[in-house]
Amino acid sequence: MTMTDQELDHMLVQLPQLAPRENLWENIEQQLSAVDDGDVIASAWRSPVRWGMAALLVVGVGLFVLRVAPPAEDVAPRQTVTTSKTDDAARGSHTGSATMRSAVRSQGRYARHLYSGDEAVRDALLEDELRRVEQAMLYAAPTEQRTLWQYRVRLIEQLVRIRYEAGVTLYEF
Amino acid sequence: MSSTFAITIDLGLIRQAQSGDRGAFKAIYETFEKPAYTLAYRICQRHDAARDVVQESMLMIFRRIGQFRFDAPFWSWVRKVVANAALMHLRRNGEEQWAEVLIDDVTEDRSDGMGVERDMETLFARLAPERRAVLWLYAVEGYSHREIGEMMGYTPSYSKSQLMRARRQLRRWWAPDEAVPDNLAGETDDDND
Repeated sequence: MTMTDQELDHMLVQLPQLAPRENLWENIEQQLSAVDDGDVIASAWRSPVRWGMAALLVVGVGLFVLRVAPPAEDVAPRQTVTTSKTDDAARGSHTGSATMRSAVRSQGRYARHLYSGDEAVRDALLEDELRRVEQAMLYAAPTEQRTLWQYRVRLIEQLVRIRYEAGVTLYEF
Repeated sequence: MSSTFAITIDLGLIRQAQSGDRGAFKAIYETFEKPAYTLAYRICQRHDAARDVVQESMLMIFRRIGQFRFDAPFWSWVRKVVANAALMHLRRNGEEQWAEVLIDDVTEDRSDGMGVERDMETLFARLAPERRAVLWLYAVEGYSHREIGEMMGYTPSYSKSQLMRARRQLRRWWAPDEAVPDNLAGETDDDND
């Protein structure tokens, strides 16, 4: 006799509960203590000084990019107004994702004030995961880069989607 | 359907935790340790991964507990954090997470009571990770397809199709000699969103 959906689900529900093989609380407590120790640095970073530092950083990066990037005229002569717009788009495409990600992150603090508990935690989890993926990308083999990049894009999309639904994002999908 | 997370805890304990009381953190951890570990293990199918997921989600809960607004049961908030962390772990590790369990290991000990339980556990572990996750979240934790879709970054239809495939696959493994009737093969989906 073939099982119905309900019977199958019931069998899954009946599977035993599991417990960790080791005591996890000690690790959790240690990490919580480490967070407490880092609060001094964290609170300094949360202060208004952060915004000044961030602004300086953005200006610095902007100046660096301007210095490094060759002028468009050196790369290829512009033929028409239309092609010049295409060139601009193409030139910006590789930095577009980074810019978007940066914008997404900057919305985080504001967004979390508008969320319910669930959404705020999900937002934070996504940001943490995004940071983890970006760290992994620094050391990943070239063959893994594409997978990581796609995963990263999906994380950003999810982050943008939940913020858009909360009414705080600039981007629409 | 009642989730194993559905444990009502004293609101005072949550408030104590919100004020940073370590004793309250520990009490909350001990309350949800088994449901959290079970959910993480069922999705990831590895003890080391389940351990990481539980640690990661408990840290997240304690760091963000100040954001809990008492507008939903605390357990549902905890469960969602754990489920999200497990799904992220699954994606992060991709196909390495696939449990390698052979069907031949399964069929021998089906005669006694424990065997049946063990069978379903082993067969469940053989499912593809995302199907396994959808089936567990829907059938055991009682999430809707909309909620599962949101958590996994897909549409509710994706969740429905994965559920249908997971059930069909389990039935075929469970009784390989029996033809699965069309109305049970999951081709028609009457599940609620």
